[in-house]
Amino acid sequence: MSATAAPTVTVAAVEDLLLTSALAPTQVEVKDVSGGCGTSFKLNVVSTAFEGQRLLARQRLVYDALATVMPSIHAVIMTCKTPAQVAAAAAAAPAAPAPAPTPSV
Amino acid sequence: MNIMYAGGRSAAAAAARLSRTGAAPRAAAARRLTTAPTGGPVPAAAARPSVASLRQTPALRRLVGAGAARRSSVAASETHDDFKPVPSADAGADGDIQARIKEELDAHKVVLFMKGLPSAPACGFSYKVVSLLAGARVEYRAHNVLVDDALRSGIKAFSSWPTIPQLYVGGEFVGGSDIVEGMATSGELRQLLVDAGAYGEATPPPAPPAGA
Repeated sequence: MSATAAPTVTVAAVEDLLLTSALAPTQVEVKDVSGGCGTSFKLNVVSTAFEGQRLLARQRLVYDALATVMPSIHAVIMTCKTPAQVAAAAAAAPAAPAPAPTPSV
Repeated sequence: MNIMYAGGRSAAAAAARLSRTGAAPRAAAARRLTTAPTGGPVPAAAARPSVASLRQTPALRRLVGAGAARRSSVAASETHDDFKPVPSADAGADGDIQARIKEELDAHKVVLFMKGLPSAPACGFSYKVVSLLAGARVEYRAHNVLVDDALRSGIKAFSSWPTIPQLYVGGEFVGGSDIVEGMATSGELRQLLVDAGAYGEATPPPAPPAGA
């Protein structure tokens, strides 16, 4: 599947890594925001592993899960929530504002 | 070869912009996007003759030359002393770069490792952090990892964090652009900088003139 020239990271590969990681996420959304070249991803991860963890620690857990592909990825934009946070957000507001889009530099 | 060609086109487009008003700039912009010399949706005949004749004049050559010189001086400023990582005789030794980073973080309250320079960030994520720090009027040290591969990999190893930019306050790793942005929104960034004695340290920008 992956091209022989450049190591291309696919959405499916990122999803697999997250789902099979120690995070055991209850919800994973992966979007390639680099126009298909596999260098920038936007992740939405919901996991109980984030409980009691600050944002830095949460992102570290995600980076750990993606360690094997990170060298060929330029950027990962993440939302890391616990199931409780998702439930609370759903109760409070119909839809949270989406994070800012990736700058096209 | 492609690059030279593109340069020629934009020089031509610049010439068209110089020589005309009104619709011409738009035409020039459109022409820049076309690949075939005669192709494109724009009636090329309108702009081309003036482009051709302008391209011959020494004045334009000087103009284009000046532009090229400006560009290269921007590139040269990537290695401005203020931002140049300290070159060490035995750079490449991993322990050495780690020591250098530690030293830098011990000596300065707020340190940003980024792509490009604060005045010209080379990545949208670095730009975001620079903007947030500017908003907090923080005096900080910036390092351009793009001019130092040892630093680029060294800082990732230092924090066990795989991406750039990386912000450090009081010697502690704060995070990348997502985290810094989140902290700026929640007010945590301000508090962190206040605690570190760095908030509002830089000279505030001059107040806008009152009234008209």
